[in-house]
Amino acid sequence: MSDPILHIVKPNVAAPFGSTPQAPMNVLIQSPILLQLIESIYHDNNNDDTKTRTIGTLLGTRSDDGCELEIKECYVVPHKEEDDELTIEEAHHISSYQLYKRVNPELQIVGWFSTNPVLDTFTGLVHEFYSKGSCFPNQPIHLTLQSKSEITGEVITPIIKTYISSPIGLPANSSLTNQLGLDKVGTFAFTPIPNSVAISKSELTTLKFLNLASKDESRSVDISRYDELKQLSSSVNQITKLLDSLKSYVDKVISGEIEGDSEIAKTLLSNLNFKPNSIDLDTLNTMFENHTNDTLLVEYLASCVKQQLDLSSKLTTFVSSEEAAN
Amino acid sequence: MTSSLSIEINASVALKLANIGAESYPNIESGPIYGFNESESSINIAHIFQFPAQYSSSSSNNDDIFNMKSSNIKYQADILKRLQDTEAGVKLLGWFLSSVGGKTISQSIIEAIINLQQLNLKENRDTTPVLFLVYDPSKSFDGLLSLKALKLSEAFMKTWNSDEKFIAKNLIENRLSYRNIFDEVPMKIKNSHLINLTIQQEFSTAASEEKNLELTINNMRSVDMTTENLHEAIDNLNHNLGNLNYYQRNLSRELTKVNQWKLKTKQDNEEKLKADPNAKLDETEQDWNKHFKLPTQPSKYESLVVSSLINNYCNNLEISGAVELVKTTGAQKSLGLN
Repeated sequence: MSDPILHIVKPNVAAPFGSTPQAPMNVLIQSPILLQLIESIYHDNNNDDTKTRTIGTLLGTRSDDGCELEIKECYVVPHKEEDDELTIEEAHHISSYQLYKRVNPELQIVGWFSTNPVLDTFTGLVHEFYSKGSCFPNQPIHLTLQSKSEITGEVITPIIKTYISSPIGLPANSSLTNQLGLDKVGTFAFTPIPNSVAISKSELTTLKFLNLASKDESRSVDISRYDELKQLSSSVNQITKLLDSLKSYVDKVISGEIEGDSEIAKTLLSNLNFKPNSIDLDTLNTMFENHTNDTLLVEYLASCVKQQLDLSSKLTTFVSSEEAAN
Repeated sequence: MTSSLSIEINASVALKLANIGAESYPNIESGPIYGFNESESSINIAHIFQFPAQYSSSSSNNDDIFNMKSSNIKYQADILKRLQDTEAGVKLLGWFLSSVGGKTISQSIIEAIINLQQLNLKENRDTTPVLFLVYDPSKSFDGLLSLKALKLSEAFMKTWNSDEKFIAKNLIENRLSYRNIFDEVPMKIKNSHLINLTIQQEFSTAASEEKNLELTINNMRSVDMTTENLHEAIDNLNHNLGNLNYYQRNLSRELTKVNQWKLKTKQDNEEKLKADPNAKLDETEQDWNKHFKLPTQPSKYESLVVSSLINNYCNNLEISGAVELVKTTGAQKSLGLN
C-alpha cells in the first residue's frame, strides 16, 4: 500500500502551545480494519444530496515516540452536508468511542476517514472538528478511500491515502484574526504520508481463504467443506505438485532442453544437502520415534475416552420409574 | 425448514475474528455478532464486536467460558443501537466464541442462545435460529482455519420444550445424544466486489508466500491445554455419573420394597377372598404408590453437556494428533531417517 510518494517536507505541527507533539511518519493499518474501511464505501448513497461522502472515526494507538501510528478500529459517523453547513453527529461519535474503549482502554481517536478522495472545503471542516475536539492536542490524520477512477469514473481497486496536516495562516483565535474580523475555520495543509497494512500470522490463515474466494466467480468460499485434515491434505498435494514441476524442470535441464538457472541450482543444492550435523543422526531418529509414539498414544487415548463415553451414555438410559414399577 | 439455512460471513468479519482470536489467545474471548436476514434461509454476518470483560481460561469453574453478565447484555444492545444509526435492518444474530481445543459448549451458552431465540420469537415473530460462531485461534497459528457456525439442533429444542425435559425417555424419543446438541450450519466467506479487488491486488502475494504455514512445526501448547481441560471435564462427568448411579441404586432398592409389598398385598387379598368371596378389599396391588414414593428421575442435561464437551476435546486431540503425525513423518522421511 506504499505510494510512490516523494516525501520531502513534513509540515510543522504548530500546536498552540510549547510541547509540540511529533507528527506520525508512517501509518500502519491492521488488515481487518482495511477491509472494514473498504466496506464503508458501500455506505455511500448517490441519491442522498446531503452527503458527498461517508465519514468516520479511526481509533488506534501511537508508538512512544509518536512516529508510528497503528489503526485498530474504525466506525462510520453519520453526518450531513448542506450548502456550506456541516453537521456531524457528535453524540454518535463520542458514544461509539466509549464503547470501543471499554474493550481496549488504550485506544485513542487518531483521525478520521472519508470515502471521497478529494480534499475540499468539507475536508477542512471535518478536520477542524476532529483536531479541535477529540484528537486534541495531537493533530488527526486523514485517510481517504478512492474507489472510482477520476477520469473514467469506473470502479477501481480502492486506493488508500493518508495525510497529516498542520493549520496554516494565523491561528484562528489570535487577536489579529479577531481584529481583522476574519472568520477562519478549516484551513489546513495536508501532506501525504506513507501507509502500510499489518498482517498477523493468524490473519494470514484467514486471508488464504479470502484469496481463494477472490478467485471464485461467486466471490465466496464454502469453509464448511474445509476441515483441518482436508486443509492439510490439500497443502500436501500442493507440495507434491511443486516438487513434480521442479523435477520436470531439472529433467529438462539435464537433457539439455533448456538452460538451467544457476540461482535455482544453488537453492536446490543447499536445500537438498541439508543434514543436521550438530546432532547425531541416531539420536535424532530416536527423538522422532519417541515423538511419533507420544502422538500416537495421545490419539489412542482420545479414542478410548470416546468409546468409554459412548458406552456410558448407553448404560445410563435407564427406564423411567413408573415403567419400572408397573 | 432450517435444514436449508446457509450463512455468509463478510470477509472483514472473518479477518477481524482472526485478529481478536490471536490477541486474546490463549484466553477465551466472546462477543456479539450482527447482520441481516437476507431471506428466510440465508443470513449475512456483517459485524463482530468483543465483549469488554475478559475471561481467564485458568479459571477452575467449568461453566464461566461464556458469561452473559447484565453489563454485557447492555453492551450488545448499545452497539446495536449505534449500528442501526448507520445501517437499517441490522440485528443481533448471536455470539462468537474464540477458544482453544474444542472448549465450545457450556450450559450458559445453551441458555443464552435459548433466551435470545425465545425473545426473538416473542417480540418479532422471528424464527431464525440464533447463531454461534466458534473459532480456534491455536489452529490458525499452524495455518489451519477452524471456524464453524453452529445452531441448536431440532432434537435439542424438542427435548428442551417437552415436559420433564431431559429425562432418558425424552432423549431416546427425540434421538438426542451428546453428539447432536448443536448442528453445524454451512457457511461461506463472502468478499464484496471492492474487497475482492483489494485482495487480488494487495494480499494475493502475501497469502501465497506463506501458504505452507500448515506444514511448519505444530504448536503443541493447545494439546497441553486440551488435555488439562479434558481431565477437568472427565472429573465433572464422573461426579455426574455418581449422581445418576445413586439414583439408580436408590430406585432399585425402592422397587424391591414395592415388589415385596405388592406380593404381600396380593397374598393378603387372596387369603381374604378365600375366607369370604364377597369380602371388600382395602387395597389392591395398584395402590402401591400410596405407600411408596420413588425417587424423582434426575435430568441428564448436565451430563449431556459435559459428554459433548469431552467428545469435542477428544475429536480435537485426534485431529491434532493426525496433523502432527503427517508433519513428523514428512520431516523424518525428508531427512532420510527411518
